[in-house]
Amino acid sequence: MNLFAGDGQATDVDAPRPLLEVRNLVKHFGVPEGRRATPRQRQGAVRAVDGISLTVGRGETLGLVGESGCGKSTAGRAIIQLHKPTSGEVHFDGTELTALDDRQMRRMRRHMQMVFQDPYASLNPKMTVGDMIAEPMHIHDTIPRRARRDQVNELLGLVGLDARYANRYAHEFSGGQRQRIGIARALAAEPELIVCDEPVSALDVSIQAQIINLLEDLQGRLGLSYLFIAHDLSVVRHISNRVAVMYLGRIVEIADRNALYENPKHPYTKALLSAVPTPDPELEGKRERIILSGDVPSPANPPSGCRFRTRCPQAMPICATIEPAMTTVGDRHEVACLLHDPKAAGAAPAATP
Amino acid sequence: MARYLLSRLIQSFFVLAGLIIMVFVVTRQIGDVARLMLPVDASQEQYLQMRRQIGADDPIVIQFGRYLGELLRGDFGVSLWQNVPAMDLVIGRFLPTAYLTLATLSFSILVALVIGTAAALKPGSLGDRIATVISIFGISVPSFWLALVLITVFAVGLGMFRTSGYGGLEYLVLPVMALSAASVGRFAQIVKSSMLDVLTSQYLVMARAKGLQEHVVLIRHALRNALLPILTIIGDEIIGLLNGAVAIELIFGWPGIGVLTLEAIERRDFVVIQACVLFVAIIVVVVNLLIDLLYAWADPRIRYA
Amino acid sequence: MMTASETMLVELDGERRQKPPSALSLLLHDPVALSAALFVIVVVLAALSADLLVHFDVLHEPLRQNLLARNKPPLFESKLGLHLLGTDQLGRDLLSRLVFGARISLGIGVVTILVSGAVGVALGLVAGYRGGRVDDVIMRLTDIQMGFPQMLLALIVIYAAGASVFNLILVLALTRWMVIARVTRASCLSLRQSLFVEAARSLGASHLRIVVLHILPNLTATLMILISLEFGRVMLAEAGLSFIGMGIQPPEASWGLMLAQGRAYITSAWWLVTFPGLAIALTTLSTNLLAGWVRGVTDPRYRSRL
Repeated sequence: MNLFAGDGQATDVDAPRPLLEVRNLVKHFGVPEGRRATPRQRQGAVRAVDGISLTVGRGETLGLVGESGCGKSTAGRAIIQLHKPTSGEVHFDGTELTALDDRQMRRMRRHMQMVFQDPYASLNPKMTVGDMIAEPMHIHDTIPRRARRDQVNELLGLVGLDARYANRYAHEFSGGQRQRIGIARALAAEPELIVCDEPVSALDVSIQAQIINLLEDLQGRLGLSYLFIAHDLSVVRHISNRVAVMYLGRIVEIADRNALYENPKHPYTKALLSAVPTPDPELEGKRERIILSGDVPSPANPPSGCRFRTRCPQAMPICATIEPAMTTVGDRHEVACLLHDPKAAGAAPAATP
Repeated sequence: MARYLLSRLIQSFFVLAGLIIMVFVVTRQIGDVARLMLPVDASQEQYLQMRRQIGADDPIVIQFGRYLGELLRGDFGVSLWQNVPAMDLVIGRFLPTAYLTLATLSFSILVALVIGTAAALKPGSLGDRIATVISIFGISVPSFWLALVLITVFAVGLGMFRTSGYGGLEYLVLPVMALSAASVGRFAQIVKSSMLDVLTSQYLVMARAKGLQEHVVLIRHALRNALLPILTIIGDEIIGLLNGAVAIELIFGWPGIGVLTLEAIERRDFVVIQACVLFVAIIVVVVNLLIDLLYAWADPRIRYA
Repeated sequence: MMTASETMLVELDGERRQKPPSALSLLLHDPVALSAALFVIVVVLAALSADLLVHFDVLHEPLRQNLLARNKPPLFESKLGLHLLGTDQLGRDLLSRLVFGARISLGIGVVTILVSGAVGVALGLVAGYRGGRVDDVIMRLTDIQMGFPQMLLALIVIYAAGASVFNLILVLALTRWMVIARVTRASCLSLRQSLFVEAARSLGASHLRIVVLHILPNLTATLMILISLEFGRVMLAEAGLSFIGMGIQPPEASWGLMLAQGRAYITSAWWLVTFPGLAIALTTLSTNLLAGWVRGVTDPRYRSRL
C-alpha cells in the first residue's frame, strides 16, 4: 500500500508510521450512497465533514475541538466507519478501512472502539452490565468462554467499579458510573484506538475530572491511543498531546498542545482560547476576549473561500476568493489561514484592486 | 395537490391489483375452480367438460390474463345458481349493506361526538368515566352477541322494533345499535383526545379572550378540529363495519352482500362469491381514496407536504 | 452541555428508578386489572384441566346428551346431577361445554397469535431495520391487506380450502399480522437510531445480533400490549366466523358456535346465548384491560396522566 499517494500534503516522512492516518475525509449527508448522486443532490448536501486530514500516533492523544455543529462528532464516526464516508481514506495500522466490506470491517472493529457522549443512551437498558461488557468478547471470540466472567470482573475493577455490579442494569447507576461502564465495554475488545466523543460533557463537573483521570491512567497502563473529541478547551488541553481545531467541516489548525494553546495562529483558535477563563486572577483580569460576531453558517451552504471569513475579525477581501490550504508554520504546527500563507500573501495585493 | 392525487391514485391502483391477484391466487391455488363451480354430485364427465370450458388446463398466466380481461369488461360471470349476471345480484344486494353501514357510521359519529365532548370538557367526571367504559366494552363485546341481547331485551321483552327484514327506522334501530358499539368506542376516544388538545390550545384561549360565548367557541373552533382526526380512521371503521355486517345481516335477515356471500357459499356458487369479494374490495379502495382526498382538502398541511 | 442541575435530575432519576415496584405489587393495587388477570387465569386453568375436572366428576361429560333434560335453566338438577348453567338443546351440560369450548377458543387464539406475531414481528423488524426498498414492499403489502374487509377474504379462503381448525388458524393469522408488523416496524425504526444500537455496531456486532439482542428485547413492552389487544380481536374474529358457520364445526364446541346454536332458542332459553356470549365478552374485555394496564405501568408519561 502506498502511504504517500494522494494530495501531496506535508507528511513527515521520517516519523514512524502513525496508528491512524486520515486523508481528505469527506462526509456529506443527504446524498444517495454510491455514484448515482446528481449534481443537484450534491449541491443540497449537508457538508458535515469536508476534507479533513489528521494522524494519531501510537499512545498519543489527539484532541479534536470545535463548536457544536462543526462536524467533529461526525468526523469521529466517519473515521471508524460508523458513518460511511463520502470520500477520502482512513488508514488504520496499514489497512485502508474505506475499502473493507461489511464483514471485514466488523472484524476490524475490535481494534478501534468508541466512548459515547451520552452514557445512558449508549447502554442497552435490557442488558446487564456484565453482559454488555462481555459482548465484545462474544462477538470477536477474543477470550475463552469460561474466562469471560473473570475478565468482566477485572475490567470493572480497572475502571473503578465493584465486580458485584455485573448483574445490574444501566438505569441503576449514576452518570459517572455509566460512563465507566461504557469505558469498560470499549476496553473489553482490547482496542488500540478509542474515539472518545465528548465523553465527559454530559457529566457533572466534579465527575468530569475523575473520568478524565481514568482515561489518562488507562492510556498509561494499556498504551492506548485516543481521538478525543470535545468542545471544552480546558479538558482537551489537559488530556491531549496534540490538538486539531475544526470549523464548519474543516480543520483550521493543528499543532502540539503547548504550541496551540500558547501560540495560536488561526484567528478562530485565538477567539476560542480567549473565551477560556484562566485560574490566575491577575492574568484573568488582563485577558482580552475576542467576541465572534454572527452565527455559524449552514454546513449545507458554506461561505466561499475561507469558511471562517464571515466571522473573522481579520478577514481580508481575498479571503472570499481563495480557500486557504494547510501551511506549516512551525514544528508540527499547521494552519489554514491566508495570514500565514506566504504564497497567498504575495497574491493578496493583486486580488485587491 | 395534483402530485398528491397522482401518488394516491397509483397507490390505490397497486392495492387493487394486489387484491385481484390475491383472490385469483387464493382460489386457484387452494381449490380446483372447476370443482368449485360444479355441484357436489357432478359427474366426472361434467367436471372435465367444465375444465375445458373455463380453460383450467391452460397455463396459469393465460388464465390470469383471461380473468383480468373479464374483470376489466365488468364481467364477473354468470351465477351458477340463479343464472343471472353475478354483477346484477351483487349490486342489488350491496345497496342494503351500504344503507346499513352509512346509518351505523353516522349514528356512531354523532353519539361519539356527544360522549367525547362531554368527557373532554370535564376530565374525570361521570361523563368521562362513561365514555371510558363504553369505549372498552365496545371493542370487547362481539356485535353479534350484542344483537342477540338487544333482540331479547327490546323485541322479545318489550315488543319494540322489528327483528327481521329490510326497511325503515323500525327495522334499522337494532342492527345499527349492535353494529355501532365498537365504532362508538373508538370514535369517542379520538374525539376526546383531539378535543382535549384543542381545548387547551392557545388559539382557543384567544377565542375566549375575544369574548366569544362558550358554545360558539366550542362549535366554531373545537368541533371542527375534532372532526379531522375522525376522518383518518373512518376508512378503517368502514372496513370493520363491513366485517361485522356479515353476522348482523344474518341475524336480522337483512338482504345485504354479507348474506349473499353466505348464501352463495351454501349453494356453492363460486362465481357469486368471487364477485362479492371483488366488488366489496373495489368499493373499499375507492372509498379509502375519497377519504384521503377529503382529508387532504380539509387539512392543508397534508396537501402541501 | 448539560448544566449541573440537569445532571442532578438525571442522577435523581437514576436513584428513583433504582427500586421500581414489582409488577405484582402494581397489579395488586389495581382492582380492575387484578380482576381481569384473575379471570383470565381461572379460564385458562379450567380449560387446561378440563379433562381432569370431568374425571373427578366436577364437570359433566361435555358431549353426553340427555334428551329428557333439554334446554333446562341454570341450577337445574337432572338425574346426572346439578347443571349450574343449565343444559343445551341436546341436554348437554352448558358449563361443561363452555369449559371445553374455552379450550378451542383460547387455543385457536393463542396459536393464531403465535403465528401472526412471529410473522408480524419478523417482517416488522426486517422492514424497520433494513429500510429502503424492502421496507417499501412490506409496508405496501400491509396497506393492501389492511384496506380490505378480512371477513370476506376469510370466507373465500375457507370456502376454497374447507373449514378446519388448521385453515381457521391460517386464515386468522393471515389477516392479523399487519398491525403487529406495522407497530414493530415503527418501534424498530426509532430504536435503530438509538445510541446503544450504534454502540453495538461500533463493537462489531452483526446485524442479526443487533436485531435479536439489542432491538427485540427493547420491544417487549410494546409487543405485550399489542399482543393482548390482538388476542381479543382474534377471539372475536374466530367467534364471528364460527357464528356464521365458517369456523369450528359441530360436534366440537367453540364459544362462537355455541352462540350460533343457541340463537334458535333465544325466546325460550336465554342462557344458551347469554353465557357463551359473556364468556367471549369477558375474556376479550380482560385482555383489553390488561393491555391498558401494561401500557399504564410501562409508559411513565401515561402513568403520570392517570
